[in-house]
Amino acid sequence: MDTDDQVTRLLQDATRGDPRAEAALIDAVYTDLRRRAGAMMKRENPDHTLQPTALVHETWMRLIRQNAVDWKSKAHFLAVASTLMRRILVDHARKRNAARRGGGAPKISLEDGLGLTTDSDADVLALHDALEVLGKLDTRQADIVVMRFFGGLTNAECAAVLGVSTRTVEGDWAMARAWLRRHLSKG
Amino acid sequence: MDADAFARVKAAFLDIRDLPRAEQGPAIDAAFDDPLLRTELRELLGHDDDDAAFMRPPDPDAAPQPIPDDPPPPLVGQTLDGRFVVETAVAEGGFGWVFRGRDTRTGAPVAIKLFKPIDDPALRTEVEAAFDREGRVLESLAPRSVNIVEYREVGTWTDPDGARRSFIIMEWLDGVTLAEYVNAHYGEGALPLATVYEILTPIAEALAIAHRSGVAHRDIKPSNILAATPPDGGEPVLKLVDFGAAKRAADRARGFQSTGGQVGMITFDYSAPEQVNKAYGSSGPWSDVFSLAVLCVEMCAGRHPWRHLDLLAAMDLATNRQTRPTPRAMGVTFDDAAVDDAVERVFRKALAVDRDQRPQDAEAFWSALDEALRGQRSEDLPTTIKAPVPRGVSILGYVWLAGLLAVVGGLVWWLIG
Ligand SMILES: Nc1ncnc2c1ncn2[C@@H]1O[C@H](COP(=O)(O)OP(=O)(O)O)[C@@H](O)[C@H]1O
Ligand SMILES: [Mg+2]
Repeated sequence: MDTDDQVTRLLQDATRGDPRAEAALIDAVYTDLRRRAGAMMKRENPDHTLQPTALVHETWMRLIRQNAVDWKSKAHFLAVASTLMRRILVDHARKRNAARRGGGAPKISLEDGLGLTTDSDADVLALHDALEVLGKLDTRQADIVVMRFFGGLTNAECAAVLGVSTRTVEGDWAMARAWLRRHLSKG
Repeated sequence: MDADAFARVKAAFLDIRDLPRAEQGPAIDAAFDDPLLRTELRELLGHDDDDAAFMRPPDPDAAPQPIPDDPPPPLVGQTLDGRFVVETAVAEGGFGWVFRGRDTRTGAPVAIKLFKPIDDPALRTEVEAAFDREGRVLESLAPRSVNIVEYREVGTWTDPDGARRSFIIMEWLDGVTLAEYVNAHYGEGALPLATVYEILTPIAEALAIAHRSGVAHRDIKPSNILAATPPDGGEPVLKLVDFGAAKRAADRARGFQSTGGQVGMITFDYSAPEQVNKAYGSSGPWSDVFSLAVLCVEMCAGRHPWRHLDLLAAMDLATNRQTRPTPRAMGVTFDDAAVDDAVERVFRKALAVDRDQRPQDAEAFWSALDEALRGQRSEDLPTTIKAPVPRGVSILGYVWLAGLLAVVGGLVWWLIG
């Protein structure tokens, strides 16, 4: 069995609710995402823009035989990958902060989710912190932001993952967006 | 703002945002007496449309997909097999529901575990057969140990929607989980390993019997150990519930039904490496040995070796061949050096990453532990805890609440921290 098949199988099992497959899937996706994001960030090319959602979707294309799974499994995969993507970016920003290395970082395009591009680690960390706060106030809203923002999931995909209606996701997303914007602009 | 206030603002936000712009202002003013909440709401709504580009993603939505709704059919009041009446729901999991019910033939209370229907006919047949097979094994196990929940019957039932669903009838256990029981009887915090040994001996023996019969439990953890008060009163008896059969069938069946927004918690806190990743081999009695060893370590150290870590760090620790989370590694030492070394050896093996290096079943593990503790128990020496144990934190109380992973409708969320 090649890795394509293996990871596809894991995804199928994970979507069926097998927690162990879920863990193994996370492991596989995380390894792949981290490696490629890491390579991009190491290049430290200021002109380079890193697009988290594009990376996540690439991972989807690389690891999964798409014709073997349905749209719900795809949503599931993207949701898992988006949480991992968030983690990778935050880890990276923290490490760079600790190492006090300025400049040369690739821009991170948050356009898909936020309509903004940032080249500062502080922004990534501020967003992360804001999401932590939001998560304590309304877990689902924070979850939706992570999925849309780091994974590029559609509202319908978020809805499938969370087991709520698309309309519920729309409302949550609208409020989360407004809340985050206020929270971030207040500093 | 706290979560309550946030929820109130959110309700108002959702109501008002659909109103025409002109009507929003008055609606906001009418929504709250509290000026802070009003301001919050106004700002949230006021900016929502002004700055349309901010955080508004290009909408990648194709036609929205239908979301299957899966409201539970009215099960209370139903009679299964013309004999077992469903009375009250006591627990819901991804698999279905646990009810309290009554055996109309004997009048005795029973526990009914009723699974969600499986749509795929081939899978259903397979799951039902596996269920039936293992149900019979479990049925034959119970009489040989008072510490295994008694399985009365395994069957299928056609629900009012016409769907076939598996169920398990068990004896009704009147009691609390191991976590609550230990906290109530022994207090919160670290316990001497010898005490842990005594508390868990009935469970180890029950497992030994299961293992000898070729059954592994595969999900040993505090919430699957109940301390039940016998029907005629007396001291609580520890009972192992949630055996492999149900587990595996439920895992398979689960995926074929959306859980309809139910939030379930799944923990990997006690899983052996081979249960997380098949690359470590197949699971079996040796997996229960691992889980039981983790439980021992947690109880005697007063904290879980990796629950507080994020998933990857936890997996690292759980599968690092050099550093095993033995009592010694967790700061628990014994004044008698011989006991100290013996205990270390036992746990190094029981927690071995590679399953073939572990004691192969519960009996082998427990007798090795008994041997190691012998001097300890006869002299009744207290163990020394080096690592500080947070005071006032229930060690076992939150075992079933806190997980490495919270699975939300099948989605794993990172606990980033
Ligand atoms: N025989 C029983 N008697 C009383 N309560 C039970 C019994 N079996 C299970 N329960 C209750 O239902 C809960 C879930 O049952 P369990 O078999 O552990 O299913 P799950 O797969 O959800 O963990 C248990 O934690 C316990 O509270
Ligand atoms: Mg259980």
